[in-house]
Amino acid sequence: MPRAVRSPADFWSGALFAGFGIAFAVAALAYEPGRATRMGPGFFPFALAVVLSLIGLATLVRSWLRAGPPPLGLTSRPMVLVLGAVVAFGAMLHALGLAAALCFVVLVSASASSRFRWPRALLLAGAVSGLSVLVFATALQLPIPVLGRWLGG
Amino acid sequence: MELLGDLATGFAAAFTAANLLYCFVGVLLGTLIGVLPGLGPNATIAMLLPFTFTLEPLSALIMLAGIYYGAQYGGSTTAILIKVPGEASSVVTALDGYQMARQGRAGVALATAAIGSFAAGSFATLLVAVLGPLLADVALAFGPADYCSLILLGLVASVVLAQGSLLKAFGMIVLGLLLGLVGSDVDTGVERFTFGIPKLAEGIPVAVAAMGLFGLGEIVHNLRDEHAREPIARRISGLLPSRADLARIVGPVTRGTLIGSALGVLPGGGSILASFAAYSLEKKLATDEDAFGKGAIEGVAAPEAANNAGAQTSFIPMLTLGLPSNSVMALMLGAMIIHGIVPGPSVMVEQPTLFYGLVASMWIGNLMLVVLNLPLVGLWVRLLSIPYHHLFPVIVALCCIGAYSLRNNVFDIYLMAAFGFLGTLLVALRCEPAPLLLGFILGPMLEEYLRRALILSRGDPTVFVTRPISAVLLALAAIGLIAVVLPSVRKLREPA
Amino acid sequence: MLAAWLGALVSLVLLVAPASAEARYPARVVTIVVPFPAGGPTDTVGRLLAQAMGGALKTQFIIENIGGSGGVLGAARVAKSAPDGTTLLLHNIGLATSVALYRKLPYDPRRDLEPIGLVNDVPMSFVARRDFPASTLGELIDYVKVRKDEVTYANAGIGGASHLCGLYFMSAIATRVTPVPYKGTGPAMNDLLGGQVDFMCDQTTNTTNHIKAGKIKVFAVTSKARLPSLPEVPTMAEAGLPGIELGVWHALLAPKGTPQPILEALAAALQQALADPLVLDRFAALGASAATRDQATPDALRRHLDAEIAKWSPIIKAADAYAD
Repeated sequence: MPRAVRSPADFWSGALFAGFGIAFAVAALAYEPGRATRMGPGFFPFALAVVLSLIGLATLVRSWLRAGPPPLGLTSRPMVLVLGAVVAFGAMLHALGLAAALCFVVLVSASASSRFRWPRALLLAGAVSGLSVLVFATALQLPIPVLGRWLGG
Repeated sequence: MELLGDLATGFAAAFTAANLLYCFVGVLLGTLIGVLPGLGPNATIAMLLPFTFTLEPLSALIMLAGIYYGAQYGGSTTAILIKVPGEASSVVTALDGYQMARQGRAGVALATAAIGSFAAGSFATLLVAVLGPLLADVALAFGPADYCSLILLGLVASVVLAQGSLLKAFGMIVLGLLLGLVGSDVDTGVERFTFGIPKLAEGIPVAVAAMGLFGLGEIVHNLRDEHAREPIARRISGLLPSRADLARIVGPVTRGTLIGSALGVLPGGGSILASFAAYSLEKKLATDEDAFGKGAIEGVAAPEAANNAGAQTSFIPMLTLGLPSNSVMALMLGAMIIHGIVPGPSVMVEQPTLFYGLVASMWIGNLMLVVLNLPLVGLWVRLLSIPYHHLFPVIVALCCIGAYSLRNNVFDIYLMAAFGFLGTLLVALRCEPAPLLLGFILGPMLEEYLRRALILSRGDPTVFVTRPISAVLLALAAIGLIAVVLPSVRKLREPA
Repeated sequence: MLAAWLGALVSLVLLVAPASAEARYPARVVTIVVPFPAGGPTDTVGRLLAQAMGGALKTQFIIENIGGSGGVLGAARVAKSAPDGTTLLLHNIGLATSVALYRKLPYDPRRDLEPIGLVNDVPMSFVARRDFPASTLGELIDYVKVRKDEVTYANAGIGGASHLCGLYFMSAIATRVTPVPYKGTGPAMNDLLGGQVDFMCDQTTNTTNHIKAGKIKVFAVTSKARLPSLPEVPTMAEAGLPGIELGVWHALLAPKGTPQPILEALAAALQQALADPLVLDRFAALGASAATRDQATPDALRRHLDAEIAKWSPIIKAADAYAD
């Protein structure tokens, strides 16, 4: 980030918008634009993407002109643990089943807290997993594998 | 007074022991699935469809309808308690409802939602009975160009949702519009922005985006400075609204009900716009605009009234014309056909008991919901007394199950995580995710109507100003835009 | 009371008796995959069929909706399922047209699926907004030939019946009108009722009620003979355009390799279901004619599928319409 920027949060937002805008615009070029009488699949997204890029640009320019607050820090630990746990849940669900995947997602996401204690988290994971299996699989009959392929479910 | 006679027949039909039971089962199920994130009325009704085979047609419809509006009720519960809006319509409720919960006023917020919904539901039900067919004809006058202008008006209004920078709010809307376009193009079937992933061809479900942006995003945000404070106040101040609170919500509930009733009749996403429009109106009318987004009770009352009123009036096109205004209505039409009732304008004439019985049951169901939910408020609020470090892993788990059960596929869980990341990023950059979500919901509709309007006008853009309805809506959008932009322009002139 | 108990006992015995004979089909729940969302017309047919066939085979038939890509996803799932008679496919005319509409179809309907039988046929109807200038099919054709692409016609999505019917009409009169695509027949009918769009071709299920209420105009039905539900409406041939006979048919299929005895049992159950008064009554309400005993057989469906693929592929290719 250049040093002259007076509003870092705006600077990065502008960069984000412009980035998304340019990416969408480039991708939209692959689709038929069509004519005004019959717009193709590319017309509307391309127009929007250009607008988004311009908004991004304006936000970038403004970050030089007007002072603003810094972005909140992206503390990586809770983000990685919580979102990582969610992704892991998805990866485990079919192989190990709902019961095991839930224990895992609860334990890992709970460890993102500074108040994390093993015994309590284990208890919580067991309770959430057991109750969810009862509610979603037994009572509501949702088609979720309770025991995964690897556990013979 | 033919209507009174018809209504009496309707109440007589709805008041049988069996139908009261089905109504109760419906609203109870609806509330429960509304509370569980991701599990929408769609999946539930599809699951229950075979069961309704064995029922009388009226009983079947009463139960299915109960599930639908019950879910709208339940959806606001999680929106308020843990900022996980279960339905598109409760996205707005999450803004101020959740802030109220953080301040220890979760009980008041939940009770306000219940009371507002009941008042709105009662009025809208009466409207369906009295003016149903007339309103359906009005809705038919809405052409693609008019919908386009209505959606533009909604988008302008949604700028008001955000606090802080206008420019960034516009950016969020446009980004939302673009993300909403991911999937197959209606017109040509071309897959756009799917990176060849087949699961993306059907688009990104709103609930997945909402759970990621709001639910997961909020959790990561809360964990950021967890040691500094407990994210949600555990001391609860009052379960029910005070007399002063009630006085404050009369206006918002009335206006919300009117907006919701009017927009709910429009089949093309009108009811989704209703809660956003009601919220924006209240914020603009408020003496203290800055209170919104920080726990303003008006910000809960108005959108909740609007979405429940809209839920009731969205039955109008289905019941009077046989046209489904959303996928739940399509399922109910399917249920009617399975029972040998061909939906269409003649249903009202040939089956008055069915029509008025269902309308009467909707009023009864709304009463049941308020009786059911007010005592539950205490129970829900007690959930918040669980320390946050125990509560949030449970929310994460529920979101995971919800995301999977939407379409029974794992990919949606990854999508939710991706939206969680985007949400975290945006909050860190001080961008409000709410306008993005509205853009996301409206993006595909805006494109669809825009293209259709231009096909029908043979490429002539003046259709948007020559059609009276469209012209009025565009003028309103322009006025709204000025109202939104002027204060910030003025602010800019003041020395910073 | 006694009779009820006796009945229960009898049904219990009936259930238990065949179970002793080991490999009898069906040993467990049969899933009919409907490749469209719940609540749609194909889903409705599927649910009626599941109920009746379940009764015929004394087992539970359940519906699984696997929507997406105009029915391709669900059909592909069934084509890859175990050929043991526990996963079936209920599809419609889209099965035949997908061959030409999709350049990358993940299955071949003739090679990867085993026909069981035709289920029913829903005729289409040509309808227009109430204040449309033309009142007969002849007038419509004259009007269209003069105004050409100023005339708009609504379709409910690429590859859907309304889209195909429109293509068929345009190729028959050798004139192109402007198609206006919609997401499903509901919104399309909405705009037709509101007078936004000129005409459309849709299943009689959706149009009959509106025609009778005088909210839309009707030109003709696409069935061979006039319909009992709309006796005053001429057929296409009577209205002056012979050769346009089409309907949305539904058919039941199984994965390739399903054993012959199972296919026969299923075809028999299908025929029994199609004789069920409740099923016939509901089909009649939909304006659908149930397949006859001869049509509800594997051979008849095989021939029908071949004929339909041969009929639609050139029309779709000529219109240069692709769905992928």
